Amino acid sequence: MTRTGRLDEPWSSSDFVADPGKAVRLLLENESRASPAVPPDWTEKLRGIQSIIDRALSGLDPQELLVALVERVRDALQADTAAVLLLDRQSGQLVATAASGLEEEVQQGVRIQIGRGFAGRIAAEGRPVILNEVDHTKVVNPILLTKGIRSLMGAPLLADGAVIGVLHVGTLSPRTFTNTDVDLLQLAADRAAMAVQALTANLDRAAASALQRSLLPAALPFVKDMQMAARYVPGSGNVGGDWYDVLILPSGELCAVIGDVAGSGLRAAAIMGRIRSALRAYALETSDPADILTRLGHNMHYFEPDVLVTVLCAVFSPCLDRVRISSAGHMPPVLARPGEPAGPVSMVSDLLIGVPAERGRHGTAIGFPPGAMLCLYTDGLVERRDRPIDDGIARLSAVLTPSDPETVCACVMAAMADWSPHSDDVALLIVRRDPTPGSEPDAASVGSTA
Amino acid sequence: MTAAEFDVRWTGRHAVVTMPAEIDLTNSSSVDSVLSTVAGQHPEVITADMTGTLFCDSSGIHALARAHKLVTSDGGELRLAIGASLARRVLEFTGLDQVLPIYADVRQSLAAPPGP
Repeated sequence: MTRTGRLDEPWSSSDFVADPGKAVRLLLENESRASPAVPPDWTEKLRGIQSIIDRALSGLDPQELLVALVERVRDALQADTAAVLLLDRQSGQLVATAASGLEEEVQQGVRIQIGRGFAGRIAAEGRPVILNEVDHTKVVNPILLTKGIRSLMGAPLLADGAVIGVLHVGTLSPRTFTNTDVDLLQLAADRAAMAVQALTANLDRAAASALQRSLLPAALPFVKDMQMAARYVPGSGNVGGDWYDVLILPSGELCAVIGDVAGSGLRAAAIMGRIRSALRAYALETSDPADILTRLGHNMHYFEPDVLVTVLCAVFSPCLDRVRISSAGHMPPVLARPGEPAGPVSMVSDLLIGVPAERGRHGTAIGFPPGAMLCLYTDGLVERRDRPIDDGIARLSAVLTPSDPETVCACVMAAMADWSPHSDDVALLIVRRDPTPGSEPDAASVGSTA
Repeated sequence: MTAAEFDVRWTGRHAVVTMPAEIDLTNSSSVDSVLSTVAGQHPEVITADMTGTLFCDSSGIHALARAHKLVTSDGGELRLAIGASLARRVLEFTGLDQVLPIYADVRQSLAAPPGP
């Protein structure tokens, strides 16, 4: 879960996100049935607005939806201007997003602080506001002044009780807005809020998924006498913050990384991208995994103190006979060596990154003979509600039979999915040294196919 | 479960918060919010009672880590009463057991004086 919360999970009902158009229609029908006193022309106007939303949800982006919506709202309320401003959570400002009769607002990128001006007041109070006579000494938006707006009416866009934007209409001649006008505007604002949230959630998911794909290695590097395979499966349709990376260091050493950023969606994927870049930069400076993670910890503590992440870093010596591993709060990798039962590496697990600590980080060196296999994974692979996590690790160890990593990856994913249906996302990276002792690889034989 | 449904008991400046039987993506934000609400009341110690917690995934671990940072930044202390909880191993893997004082039960945590 991320602290930002709302944007990541805009609706409690997954059905709504799956088919927002249907949910909005159902709501509309329920409301019409429940309110027999609604004037007939009013229902007609609302249907006009609804038709825009229906069309928009079939493929438009939120921007196009809102442009169509403000035009319809302006017509329905016989106003001269209509505008939607959406809340930018980062800055706490309302940003003009769509306007009709007031296009300058959008073109000039008007931003209004919550609590200031007309729109800012609606956002701060979370309820509709009417100004039948605009007091020009109190208007903060110069565009409203230049236009000569005389009367204003606005309503908040609410999602789960929180303001996500403001919809307002204005007239160039004085007008007394009625309660029916306010009700219609608030209903239009409610519809807009639902559609914006649903579309934003869809875009967030699509963007997170695209970002995640772009950050995972397109192809694992080619290293002589070494075989590798990896898997990533998003949890319950949602992309999380799991990732892996494999890189060849200037020293000729092979560095394998796996990690898990707290949270999910676009924010977690973006943080994961920054961590991946930082790790790559530090791996150019040092090949000591504990040192790499110490530097990453300093970086995060300074620049992103609110981020929590577990990372495991394994560096294989140039002749592949030894691997040094350091863990920042991550699950221990499972090691399978010829002639020994597979099991988790016995090592110190240092504190995850994001919690200040006085203790230094540790590295553990282990022998990696020909045929040895190291399995790096995230917790989603082994956790199960009713069993100790060690049972999951034991289960994983039991299915790690020395074979080519692609086959082993497939076996592991099948066996573990069978044991525990994944709700969290899962990353898996398997590295195996060729079983037949080959010639000692030299630096020139190590290269990347990427 | 919402933050308001958590059992929070105060003994002087020591708050004991009962954790759910399972902490996962569906309720970790509630755990987050109840712990930060309690932390906002400037306790000397918060004990998260996990003796009845059977499962804690990474989102639960992250909620505990955030609460620890919040409480310590205010000069307080977050403790865990953990008993034989299955969540113990996850705390060891994440290294949180190195910074969070762990007690067998709430009674022992209440009996221990505050401070490092």
